[in-house]
Amino acid sequence: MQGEKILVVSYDRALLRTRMMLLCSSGYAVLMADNIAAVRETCRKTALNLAIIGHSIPRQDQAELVGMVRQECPGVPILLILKSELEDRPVDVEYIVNAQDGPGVLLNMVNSILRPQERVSSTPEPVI
Amino acid sequence: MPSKPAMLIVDDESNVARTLKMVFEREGFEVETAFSCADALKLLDKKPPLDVLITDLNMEREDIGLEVARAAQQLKKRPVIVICTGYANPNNAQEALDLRVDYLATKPADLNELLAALRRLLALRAAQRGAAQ
Repeated sequence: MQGEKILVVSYDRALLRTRMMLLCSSGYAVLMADNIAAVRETCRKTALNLAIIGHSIPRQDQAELVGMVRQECPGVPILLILKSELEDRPVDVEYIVNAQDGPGVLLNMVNSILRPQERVSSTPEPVI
Repeated sequence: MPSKPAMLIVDDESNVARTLKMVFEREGFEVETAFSCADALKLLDKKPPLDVLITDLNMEREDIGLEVARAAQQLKKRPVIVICTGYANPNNAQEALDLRVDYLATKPADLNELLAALRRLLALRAAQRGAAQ
C-alpha cells in the first residue's frame, strides 16, 4: 500500500467511498471504516498517519471513536469534519474542517498535515 | 488540443456530488453538478452538448434518476449515461437496461473501474459519430 495511510470513518458509505476516491487520486492510501468495530480493527492492524472522522457520525460516537484512535494509535492526528461551522467544536481533535467548505478544503487540510513540505503557505495550527 | 469532455453529476447528497466533481475535474472532465432531478432536467434543457451524465438513482423519490437518464436519452447528442445506485433491484436494473443506460454502477463505485468504463464508452461514442459522418 503506497502513500501515507489515512483512516476515513463515515456511516454514509457513498460519502465514504467518494472521499476515498479523492484521497486516493492524491496518492494517499485510504482505509475505510463504516462502524466502530472496523475502526478498532484498522487501528490495531495498521500504522496510520491520519484519522478522518466524517460529519455523518453522531456526537456520542465521535467521542468514542476519538478515544479509540487515541488508545489504539497514540500520536496519530485526528481530523474531524463538522456539518457546519455552527456545530459545537469538540475538544479532543487536532484538526477540524467544515463539510460545507467542500472537498478542496478537506484535501488542502490533509495535504498540509501530511505533506507540509509541498505547501506554499504554512502548516495549519492544531485547534487544541 | 481536444476540449475536455463535459460531464453532469446528479446527486442529492451535495457532499458526494461536490467530491465527485473534484475527482473527475482532476481526471480531465469539465463538470457541472445538480442536486436534484428537477435541477438536472433544467440543466439538460439549457446546457451545451454533454458527453457524460452520472446520476444517482434515488433522490427526490425512488428511481427518479431514471427520469434524468430518460431525458438525456432524448438529447440530440446522446451522452454516455451512468446510473449510480446502492439500491439496484431487478425492476430498476431492467428499466435501466431498457433505457440503454451505458453503465450501472453499484454505489459506492470504484473510481478506476468507472474511469476505465467512461473512457472506453467515450471512445466508442466518438468512433460511432465519426462513422456516421
